[in-house]
Amino acid sequence: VEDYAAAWDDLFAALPVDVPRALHHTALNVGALGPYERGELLDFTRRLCERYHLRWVNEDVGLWSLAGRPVPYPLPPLLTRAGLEATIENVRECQASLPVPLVLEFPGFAHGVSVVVGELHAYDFFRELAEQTEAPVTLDVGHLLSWQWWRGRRGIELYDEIERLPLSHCFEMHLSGCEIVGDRFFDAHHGHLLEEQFQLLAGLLPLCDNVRAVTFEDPRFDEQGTMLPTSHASWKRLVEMLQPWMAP
Amino acid sequence: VTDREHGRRIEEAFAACLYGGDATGEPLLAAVAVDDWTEAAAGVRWMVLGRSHRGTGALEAWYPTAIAAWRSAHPDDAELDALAARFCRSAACGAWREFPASDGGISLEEAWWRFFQEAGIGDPDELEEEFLSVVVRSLAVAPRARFRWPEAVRPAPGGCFALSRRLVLHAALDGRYVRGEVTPLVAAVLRDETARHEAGAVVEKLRAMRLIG
Repeated sequence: VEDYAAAWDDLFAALPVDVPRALHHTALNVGALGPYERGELLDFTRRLCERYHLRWVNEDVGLWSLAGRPVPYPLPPLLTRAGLEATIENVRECQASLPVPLVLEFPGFAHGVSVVVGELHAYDFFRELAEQTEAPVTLDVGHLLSWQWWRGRRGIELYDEIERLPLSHCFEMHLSGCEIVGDRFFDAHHGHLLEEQFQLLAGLLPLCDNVRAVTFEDPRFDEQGTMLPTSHASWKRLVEMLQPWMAP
Repeated sequence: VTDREHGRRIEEAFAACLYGGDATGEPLLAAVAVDDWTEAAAGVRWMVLGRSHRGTGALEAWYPTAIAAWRSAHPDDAELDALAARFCRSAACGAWREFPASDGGISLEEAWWRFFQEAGIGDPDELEEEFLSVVVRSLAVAPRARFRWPEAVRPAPGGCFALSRRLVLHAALDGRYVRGEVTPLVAAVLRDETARHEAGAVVEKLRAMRLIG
């Protein structure tokens, strides 16, 4: 933690004190099938939570490495019964060691990067995982679209089957810049939201009674700290859409 | 075989496919479309070429002479994709680890060095200097990095050091990188404690630099 403290202290000093703070993890590797030693990692995470008063830890449900070997992008978990059982066990281990809730994020599916193994529907996998672990979840709207896109769905079919998601577990929603180029859906993280993301968000919000946070993950800023026009247009529309749902 | 051990085998097979192997040995993976593996493997090559570390940069900055030698011999591989494909399939790459749960793995820098050596790419002496330089500089920036130290890198009171065949010292001392040719006497003192009783002044100097205890 000491190696990180200087940078983190600077960051938190720049934030208003009343802004809720959470950690987006990238190494819990809850989709792992094989042994994965998390002891030191969980201890490190716990110390960060305590030092910076983090309210929750978020993590994409996926494979962030394979038998210790790096991968360029988190891979979806194996969509098999064995994959689900291993993921449930991994999540329970993390939950038992963290001082704050572990919020499970639906993973991304990107042609050209992801390899999808197994026959389970990802929404069913994710719902059963949330139910068995009683975990709150993050619905990343771009990731949901990417799954349906992967399956060949287009147009209004992209918004189908949301009832198969663990909607009552939804604590947070994520939005990050996505792009459709040719017949490819990209989780581009460039700060510009697609019309399809707003449409799906509008469909999800009334169904998720327990949602408490909506996060715009990647707005772009210039060197003076001013939000770039492409991101600002997305931000403005997002704020307008969320206005009726905000706490007074 | 426990479920976790079986799971490890699946992960190893999965990784092997992504790093350029084939999926025929594992039925679960064999069901994946060949095109999906091909595209995902391209992503892995892009990753190993682009991996950049604080203070040292990425591959082309680590091994400029080896990369120049490769480009000279393979002018059609300007993007280094063919080089990365060979690297990804190598045993050297297979020893690379970088996650907290994977103690015992070597750094990407060492993996490339082993690969260049085995493949006979670049001048061996230049390669050794580049390798020791990048590894020691990385330890100057991140002294507690979790990769396994190369055999040539030795601990010192102020950090660590390595000596090349050309008797060039590379040292990370209290956050600073120090590099320079040394005399055979200094090299002997650094390599062998028994040589210290005949080199009082040198020993004192090296102790003051926190190279030896």
